[in-house]
Amino acid sequence: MSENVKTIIVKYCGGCNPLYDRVELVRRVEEALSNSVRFTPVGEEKEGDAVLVVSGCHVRCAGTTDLPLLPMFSISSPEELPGLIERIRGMLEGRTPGVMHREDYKIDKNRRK
Amino acid sequence: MTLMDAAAYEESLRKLNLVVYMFGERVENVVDDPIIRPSMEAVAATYDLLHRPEHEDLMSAVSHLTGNKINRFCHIHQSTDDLVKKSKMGRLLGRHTACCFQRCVGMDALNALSIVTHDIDQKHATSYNRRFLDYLAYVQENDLTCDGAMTDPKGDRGLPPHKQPDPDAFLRVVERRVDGIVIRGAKAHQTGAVNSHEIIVMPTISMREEDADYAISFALPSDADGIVYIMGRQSCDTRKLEEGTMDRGNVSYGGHEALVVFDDVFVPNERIFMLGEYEFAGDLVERFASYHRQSYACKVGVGDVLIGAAATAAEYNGVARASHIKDKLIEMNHLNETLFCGCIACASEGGREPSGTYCVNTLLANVHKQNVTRFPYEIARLAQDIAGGLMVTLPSEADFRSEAVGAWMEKYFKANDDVPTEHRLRILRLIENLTLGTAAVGYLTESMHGAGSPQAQRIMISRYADMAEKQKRARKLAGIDE
Repeated sequence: MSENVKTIIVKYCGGCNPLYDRVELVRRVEEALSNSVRFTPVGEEKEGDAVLVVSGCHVRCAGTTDLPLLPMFSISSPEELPGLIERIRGMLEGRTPGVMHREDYKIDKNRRK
Repeated sequence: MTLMDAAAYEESLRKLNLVVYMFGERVENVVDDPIIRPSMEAVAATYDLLHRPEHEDLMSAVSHLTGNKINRFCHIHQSTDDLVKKSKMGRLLGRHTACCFQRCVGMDALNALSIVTHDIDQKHATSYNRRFLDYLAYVQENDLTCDGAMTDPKGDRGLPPHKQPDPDAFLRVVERRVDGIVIRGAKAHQTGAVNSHEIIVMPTISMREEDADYAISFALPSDADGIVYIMGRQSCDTRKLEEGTMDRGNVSYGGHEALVVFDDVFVPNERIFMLGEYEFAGDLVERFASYHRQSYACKVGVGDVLIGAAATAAEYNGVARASHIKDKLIEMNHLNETLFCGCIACASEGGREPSGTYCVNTLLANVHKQNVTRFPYEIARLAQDIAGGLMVTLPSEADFRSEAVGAWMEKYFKANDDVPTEHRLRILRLIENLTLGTAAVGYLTESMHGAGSPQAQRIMISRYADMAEKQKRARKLAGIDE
């Protein structure tokens, strides 16, 4: 694997009533960005380049206190997939628009509610 | 610190020396018994899902004792967020197993005791809370499954424990020693008892001074000397002994209950959390019941499966587009999500107790459980309506596989041409399993009587609904001067 491959730490919500297949969605992101990123579950690895929070619905109840302080992406529906891929590509290319920080996630989460 | 996975959990059960009877005979190999094993698999799922990243957020928690990651089933709720996650975990596991996964009762006992041992100590200057926290640390450290044992046989329901013709109708102290007590009695309807490492005993009703020997709470290893388990029967249980899996309905999971007999069992002092403080028996019952009424969040997950099965049966029968079928599915979802509202609401509106533990809103937990005594029955009725009568007249899997008659079953039970006949029969068996087979024990009758029968919730609703304030407000708006 190339040294340029970025590591994205994945944090899922618990999946009590997800409206789509969250694991499959992450697989699709990985496929779309093959050879550029690799995903690893939170806790398995300390080092990474970004965090992806995957929520099964717009409640976005996944806890974020255990996440490393890294640029954050989040997704809560399959419709957001193209935008997510584009934002991650932006990170890979050195652009940062759309990268969410912890406070943005909280604000966005509350707005959704 | 050990966070067991499913395999480690199964292995841990093999080390227990439980005394289990079923059909009049001692069960020598509990873990591999074909009738019991699906219930073990359901508990194992509570260990397995913690290790899946897509479920870890609900299945794990951070211990307030050690800061370590633990299984949520061993956790003492530290916030309303914890309580909400407990409800969501119930739905997740109910949906995953479509049966009772048995582990909530121990979690509810631990949380209730974390509150009440503290309250007893405040009044009596005892040290129960310290003992309890030591025990909790042991449970968390070893990731144990605990049975929460509350329901006594109760004998004559019109008499208090000390007036019963048989004094063992309620579990009691029969001997006090320097190093502990000897207890005798039984606990009925014990869900998941033989899949548990520990058994946590609590009194079953409010008590008075005369009942002090019955006001006891303690924990024991599930294989302590003198504990005997007598397995409960479930309708269609022996289908698990048959060839094939189709007639079981649920091919992977199940639940179980047992009568647990305590035949003069010794309890060491360090495992005793209440001994004679009769005025706290009712508090412990109420705390446990409130938590456990919340725990019926699991029925939402089971409901998800039943609704999915009904919709699938409609497709397989070729009637999915019929307007009345669509409307029945809407009604099923309405009822199921109303249940979800209740278990989320009682968690969100919970609060902090003096011990630091967060407890659910008692009124809302009772309202939620009252709904649980009703809605699953209506959801089940609608599922049977959609499924059609074949669900209960269907010949066996053995006939389906038979060279003599299998072809006729294939021919005459074919419906939607795009669907293999076996798929249609399997989904009907799942609906049968959930509405009148082994899983109906958990989805229906347990919904009725588990965590207290309907009248118990109505009493609590009556006690906690602030009628005086409602009347005051009504009088004010009606212009009635007081």
